[in-house]
Amino acid sequence: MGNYKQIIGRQGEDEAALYLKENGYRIIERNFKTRFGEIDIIAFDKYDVVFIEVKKRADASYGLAQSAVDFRKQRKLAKMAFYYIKLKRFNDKNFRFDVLAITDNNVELIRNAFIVQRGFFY
Amino acid sequence: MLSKVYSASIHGINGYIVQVEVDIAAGLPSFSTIGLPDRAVTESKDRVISAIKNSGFDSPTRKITVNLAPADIKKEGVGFDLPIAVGILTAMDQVKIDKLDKYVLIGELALDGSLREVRGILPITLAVREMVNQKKSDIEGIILPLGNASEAAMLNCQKIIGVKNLKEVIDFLNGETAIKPTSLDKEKTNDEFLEYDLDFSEVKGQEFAKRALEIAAAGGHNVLMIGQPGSGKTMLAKRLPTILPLLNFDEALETTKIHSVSGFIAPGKGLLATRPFRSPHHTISNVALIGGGAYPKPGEVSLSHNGVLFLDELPEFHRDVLEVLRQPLQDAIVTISRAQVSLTFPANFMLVSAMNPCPCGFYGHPEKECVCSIFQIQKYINKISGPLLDRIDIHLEVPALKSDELIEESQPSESSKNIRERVINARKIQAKRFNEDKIYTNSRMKPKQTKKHCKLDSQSKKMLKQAIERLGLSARAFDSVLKVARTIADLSGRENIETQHIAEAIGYRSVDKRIA
Repeated sequence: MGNYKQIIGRQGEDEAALYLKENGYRIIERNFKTRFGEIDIIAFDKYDVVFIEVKKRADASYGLAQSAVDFRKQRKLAKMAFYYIKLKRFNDKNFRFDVLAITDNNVELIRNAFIVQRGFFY
Repeated sequence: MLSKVYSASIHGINGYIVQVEVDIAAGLPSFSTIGLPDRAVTESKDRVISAIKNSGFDSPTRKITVNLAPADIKKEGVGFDLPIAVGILTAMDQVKIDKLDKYVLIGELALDGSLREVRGILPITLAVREMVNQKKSDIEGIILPLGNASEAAMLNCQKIIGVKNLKEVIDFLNGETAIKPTSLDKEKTNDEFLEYDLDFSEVKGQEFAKRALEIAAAGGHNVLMIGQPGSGKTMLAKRLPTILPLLNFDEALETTKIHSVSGFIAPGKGLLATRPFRSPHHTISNVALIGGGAYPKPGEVSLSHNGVLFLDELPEFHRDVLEVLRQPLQDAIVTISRAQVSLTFPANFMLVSAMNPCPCGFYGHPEKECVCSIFQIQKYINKISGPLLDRIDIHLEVPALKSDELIEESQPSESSKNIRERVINARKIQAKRFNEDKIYTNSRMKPKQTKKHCKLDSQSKKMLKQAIERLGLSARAFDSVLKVARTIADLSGRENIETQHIAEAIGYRSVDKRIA
């Protein structure tokens, strides 16, 4: 079963990368690993650095894919993004979090899906 | 980029100018508000971002810091939504700065970008007027929700721009649309003043009580009405505002300020014209009565400033609630001290209270029998403490009507309008007398003024001496007899207090007699 989930996820990320390229994003990292977890895709959208979380669901019966990016996931992403920015010394760039939700054949890109809130870093 | 927008807030019942600074910098997208914001102010970020997005502007994707200066006063209320939104859009170069410096912005945002009314507009307008008059800044006017515009326009001295939504504000600031400043039609508002739906002529009989209330209204004296259930105490009290003179401009400003802070000014309404009449239920807590809270808000005594505070069923109020009334009754102000802050609210009200003569209510009734024991009656009356009773100048018995008095079609008694004319005349005499003393009515006379203005002839003195001995009047009660006598003399247009005036005034101390 775990294997099946990974396949779905992997497929989703490939689909996502393609979709983003079509929409003018320049992908710089895929599956960027940190000790907190993994960022699916990091890309440039014009001059903004975008951290993209890809969510794929085989069908919508469990609810929409985007609802899986909850507060805990947001906090994790923010921590990883922070780490990445430090690592690359991207001090004067703009950053943003997007969520790419894939349900069946329907792809939805949510730009600026969330902002960093108080409580993310403690 | 950095931007600065003027806004304002309230502290107690006074407004002050707040500078909203917005900085948008590179970094992970976030939004933080600093400068001692309370819950409602912190929450404004979600309203602001939605409103910006839904008004058709780009929503910011960068690190936003909002600072509210001065940073050492706790900011409360939702009026900062609009200045924060405009500040963000300015920092994103979507608003031209040249007009922005000239306005104070205030308003609550709905998620769709439309503006909602906020409370406390009048004190804020006063604070802005101060700024305009001092000419220390370029401020010329206020931009606020349309529903608040008429309240702000009452002062008629700066540009009041009433707006419906965020888009309209931005277009106005960018010079793309012009909005005509709101101004108040003074004539129209004056006409609304004189309509009451109650009138004294509706009260059957009770001529004695009406006379006493006329005296109370003329001199601003506190009243205690004692009577059987259904005898008309409440009816009489509710009609008291109809015989009081209208608020003058300064009084109206003070009273409206308090009501504005408490959020009681309906959209589209301006200055209060009639005197407030507040009648809290007897379960009221003492904080609700005199004001309070961690950041104190005015209570009922302040809401009835320059008007009437009516306490029905006086002995049913908690004892400590009645005792906290003493200081505001004496000083006409109330000072609320809390760990964080200490505030003084005006509380110059006329206390009108009503009670039954005994627990069952029928003591002294012409037809029904009272079933209470003497002890019970004594206990009931003793709930009103001596010090409080002393501060009530006029005690009044309102007996139940006999059955034939009720049924008989009596000729209609005097209308409120006639009584009010006499009251206004008496108040004019008092205003002239207290020209230099900063008080308006006889009831507020200090001992020195009482001595000066209430001279008695020898016969009156003799009568008063007897009364003190028989009724056991305290020194304060003695003073209040003099004050009431002064008012009675003013009502009849006499220069000096005469024996008949003293006699009538003594007649209004019936509870002293009962306790003795």
